[in-house]
Amino acid sequence: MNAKSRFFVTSILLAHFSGPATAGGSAEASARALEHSMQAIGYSIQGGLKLVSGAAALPFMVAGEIGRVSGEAGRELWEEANAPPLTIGPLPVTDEIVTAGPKPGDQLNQPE
Amino acid sequence: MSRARKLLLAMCLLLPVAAWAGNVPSAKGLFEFRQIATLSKGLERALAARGARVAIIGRVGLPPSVMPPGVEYSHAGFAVYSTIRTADNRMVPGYAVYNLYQGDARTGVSFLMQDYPVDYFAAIHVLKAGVVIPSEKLQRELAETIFSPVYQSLHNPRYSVLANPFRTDYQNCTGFVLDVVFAAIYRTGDPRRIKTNIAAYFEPQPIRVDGLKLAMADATMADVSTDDHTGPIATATFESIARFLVNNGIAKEAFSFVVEPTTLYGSITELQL
Repeated sequence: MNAKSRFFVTSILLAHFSGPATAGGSAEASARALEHSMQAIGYSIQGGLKLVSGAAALPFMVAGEIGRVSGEAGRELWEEANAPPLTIGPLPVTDEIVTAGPKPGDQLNQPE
Repeated sequence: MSRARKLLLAMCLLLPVAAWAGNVPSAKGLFEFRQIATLSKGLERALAARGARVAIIGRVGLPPSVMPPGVEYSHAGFAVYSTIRTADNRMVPGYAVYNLYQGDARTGVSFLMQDYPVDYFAAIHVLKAGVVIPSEKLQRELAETIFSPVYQSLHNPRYSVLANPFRTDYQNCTGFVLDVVFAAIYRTGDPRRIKTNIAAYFEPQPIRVDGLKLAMADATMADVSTDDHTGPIATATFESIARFLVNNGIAKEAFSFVVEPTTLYGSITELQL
């Protein structure tokens, strides 16, 4: 198959799968999540779920692990995150729906 | 055969492989936000009720009809119990998801991303999540690996949906999860040691795809490569990773979390392995 027909076949395939019935196996979905999110701002379900953007996430870990985390978050934030007593058993979860928001490029290109 | 007929034949042959290989994301999700939110929040609550700090979660990102036999979940990542700082500077408890994405353009190049369950499940075909909660010990080791430089070092951006998990030529989302799991178990970042142990103890999922279809997909799609396989095609899948963890006694629990689309009733069902 030459390059031209390869392109053509691929184009047909891509066009075929660009309908609403498709989604990527490993494709990033956050942009689509935002689309959901934008439709849902101010909308709550099950009596109180609401949407918020997550700016950073820090793992809760077991005692003895404090200070071993690396990455963008500093020790201060880490200690703040782990301030509640660490327990074994059921864990609390916020009722809010946290989303990563748009990709950086999309964010920058949003109309003012 | 005319050129048009050849192209039509090629298109028909390639459809299942093309779809499974990730393909072009839809412009719009199949489900409404409230359905995706119910699945993602319900999953978080199911994990939290079990005290899970790290879990491996799978999503059905492609129509079940195009998936190879034995493969239901098209993507996998790690859910990590976290304190999340919100954009309005509050701290809330929940799960963050760490995973490898190929990206919408399907260039055969992947990247690592941290997002949240509602992002992770935004583009799914079934309101269902596969879940494996590792043993407490493995959860601790996974957390340590994910938040160490080893995590980034295990990423190979050369993406192939059919990546051979015994080799380092290519990597897919599930192969990355597998590498991180073995790095955690053996407390190493050495790729050779990781791959040696994967070859010794992990049984990948055989992928039965017609040879002609595979050859054409390999030739036409950037995210399908087969030159890292010398025999039958086999790759890491969410199911094969779950089997490995369960069969080796290092899974605390494995299940599917399913939401009924109309009533939004969530339930725990058996994970088909």
